[in-house]
Amino acid sequence: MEKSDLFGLVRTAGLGSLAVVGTARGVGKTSVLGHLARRAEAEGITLGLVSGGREGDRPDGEHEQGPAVYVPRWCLVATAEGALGQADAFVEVLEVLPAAGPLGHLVVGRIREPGRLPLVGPPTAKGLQDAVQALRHHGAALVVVEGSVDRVACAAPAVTEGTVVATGAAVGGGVGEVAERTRLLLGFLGLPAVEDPGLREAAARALGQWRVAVIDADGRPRPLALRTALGSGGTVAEAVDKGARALVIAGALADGVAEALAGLRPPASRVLVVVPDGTHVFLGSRALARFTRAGGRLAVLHPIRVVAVTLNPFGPDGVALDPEALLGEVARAVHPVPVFDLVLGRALNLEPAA
Amino acid sequence: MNRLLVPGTDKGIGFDRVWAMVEPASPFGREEKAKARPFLPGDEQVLEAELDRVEAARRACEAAPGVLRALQGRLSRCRDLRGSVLAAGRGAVLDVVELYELKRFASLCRELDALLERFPWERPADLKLGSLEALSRALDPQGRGAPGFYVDDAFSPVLARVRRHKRAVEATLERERRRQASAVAERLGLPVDADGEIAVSTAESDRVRMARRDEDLLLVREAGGHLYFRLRPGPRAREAERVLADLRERERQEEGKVRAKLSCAVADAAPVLLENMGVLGRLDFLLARARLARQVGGTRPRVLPPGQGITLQDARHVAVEQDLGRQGRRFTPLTLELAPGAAVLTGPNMGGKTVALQTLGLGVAMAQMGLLVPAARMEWSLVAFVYYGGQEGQRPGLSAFAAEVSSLAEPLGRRGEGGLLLLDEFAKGTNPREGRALSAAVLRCLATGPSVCLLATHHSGLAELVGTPHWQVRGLGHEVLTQIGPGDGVRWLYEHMDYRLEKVSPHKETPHEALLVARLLGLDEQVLAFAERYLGQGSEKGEGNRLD
Repeated sequence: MEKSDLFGLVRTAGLGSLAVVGTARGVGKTSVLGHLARRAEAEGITLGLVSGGREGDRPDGEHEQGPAVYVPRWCLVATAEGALGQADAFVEVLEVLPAAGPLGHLVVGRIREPGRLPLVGPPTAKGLQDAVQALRHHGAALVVVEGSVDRVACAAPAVTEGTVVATGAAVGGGVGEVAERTRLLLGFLGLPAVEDPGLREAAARALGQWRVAVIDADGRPRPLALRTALGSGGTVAEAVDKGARALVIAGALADGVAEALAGLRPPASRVLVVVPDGTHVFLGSRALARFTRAGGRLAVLHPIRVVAVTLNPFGPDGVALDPEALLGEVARAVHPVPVFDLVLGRALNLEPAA
Repeated sequence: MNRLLVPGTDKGIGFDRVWAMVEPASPFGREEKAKARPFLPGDEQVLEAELDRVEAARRACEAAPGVLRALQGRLSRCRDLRGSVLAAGRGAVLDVVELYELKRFASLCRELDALLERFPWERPADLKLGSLEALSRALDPQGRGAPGFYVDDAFSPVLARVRRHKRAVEATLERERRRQASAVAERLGLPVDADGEIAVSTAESDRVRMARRDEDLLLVREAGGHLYFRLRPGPRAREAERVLADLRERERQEEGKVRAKLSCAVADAAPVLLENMGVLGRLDFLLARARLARQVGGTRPRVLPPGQGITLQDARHVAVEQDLGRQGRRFTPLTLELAPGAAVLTGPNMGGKTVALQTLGLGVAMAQMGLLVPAARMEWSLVAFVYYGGQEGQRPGLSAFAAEVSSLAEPLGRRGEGGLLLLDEFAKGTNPREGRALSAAVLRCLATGPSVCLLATHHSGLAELVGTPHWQVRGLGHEVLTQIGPGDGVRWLYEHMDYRLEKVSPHKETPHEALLVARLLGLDEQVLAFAERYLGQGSEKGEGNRLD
């Protein structure tokens, strides 16, 4: 394995499926896909490609169109029926999946004549899970899921076994901002699993039954009559204030709840919040800081394995950051996760921490 | 269906819930279900044949559940391809996904046909699938039997030649690129990335100078202290790219020609394809009805010649039965026999009069929609319509009484056609004296003639007054009433109520258990005490609830 070989790193990690998610639009997810596809082709490894779902229509009314990626011969893909007509690659149709979006059903196919192909993913998480399984079933040694813009749901362990985070100048601001945003996202994605086996079991049971619940000191669950914790910070904090070992949230954890919990007096403010996995956390850095300062802690049932971070020093509108400085700063921020600049062919954090 | 069930009756008798339990697996079956129409008087023979089919299918499902599952699985994988078939018929060129689906449909038909051969029944003539072998061969010329579809070289020698040539040029181009990349990398001592780009730090002025002068490199951008160069294709590479672009265009054209030819094969097979989709629809709908029959313990009802009324033995209302099941309670099956004409049904509050009317209506509606019925035995003469006049489905702006009277207008006008009229406490919404008179008058009108009417009421003496048969809920016997204790509530009522119907003398009194039921339901004791006092006064004056 070359020092700068992201593909080699992913293969060594023994992953069957990989999510590629980004910190912003234009951070180079498609380049990562291209890199993986080319390296897989060179090594004779069958890759499966699918997009991590479209989140509906753009504000201008146009439907979001996935970028066309170059797909080599024998690569497996899952994309919407309608996207095949826009491809210059020729595809052997292997299966048509039930998931359907605006461009028709999701088709699993094998590239027989290489070329460019737009990747249009299934509209639901379940559809994505099925697509990953179907690609594996048809022989993909590694399935790569390209996360859609600003969405990280495909990194959930229920969908993929590992994750690559793409980041870069498109985040906006300078090298420092990019490093900070990347550190924040990795902090959520890499949240640790609940350590205590008893609490873990109680949280798993509660998450299987309710959307929001409090686990009492004696391990007994106390469900809250809420469909989501969003917008119910007060109710949630009130329940936690009555004494709680942990708060479990099946949906999204956003600023409101974190701020409300941070506003409680200790020891209530030192509550452990448990979510299914890191893709459920949507906290801004200010809310997170208040929450952690007050003693709050976060944990997950299913930890995500972040295998690498990739960099694109170029942003939209010709903005560019110093690639060397960016590589160094991001590598420090996400240490020990390896960081790759695929353009410069450089990488950092490849050696284990001293 | 609209022609059998008078508007509002569908929901009133719970037929909508039962009909929703008929669940075909394929789009064709769902369409067949949507097209289903009731069997009406005159259709006796057709209905007999249909019921025989459903019964035979039910028996086969019971005997071979594995085959049924396999059939279901394949039916659920069917997609509605009529759009593609019709498009091909109009001369359109189908895309690879459509051709894949049609290839798969042809093999599904083959598999379904083999399964139907193993199904232990005498397959009806209209459930035979036509052969699609010619289409299968056209879509898989080498007979590989692989499930996927691709316009590969076997379809056209021209396409094969173009692709061979294209691959050779691609290989040449790739070799040329690699040669150029490694030469440049060696000259500059820097790697060329997979996109053919090379980044040179502006700090390294010698390298920058070299790169700028290099014939094989083209400066594309400058950013973040680096110059980015791209490999500039040489004359050989440019020529190869031009040839490649031509070949790709020819490949696309040839592939299109193959698809056009295959679309013609689809057009040729269109009649069989469409007929098979129809067959699968009928099969799927039939299996869905057979499954419902298994699920609800349905039996085949017996069609009587016109004008013989309705007999139900141990009939159940499957939707009510499901609701009771969720509460841990059991449905008491009903037995009832009605000749053409009118009859009266009386019983205590909470005694199941409404459910009895609904069960009767549901049985007839199910049978006339070609379903097996949840009863030990059912015999009936086909009715022209079923009307249920109950308390549900009031129209806004109308009082309960007005709604009831106006909804009865249509079925009453059609009474000469021989319908089933189920009247649940008719005219309850007006003063008891006139309500009773109206009820008696409706009974009188329906007492003769071909329609069957059952009127549930709390009014006493209606059967006697009009001279109709009288059915009664057995209710709470006197012995049971002596067992009632102070803490007993509605649960006690459920446990002790005898919901069975019996035919009684027209003179038999209507049960007077409203106060008792009210007490068990937890009505305020003071209210009950007053009620008892008023009841006593009324009896002394000879009024009570006998308002005749």
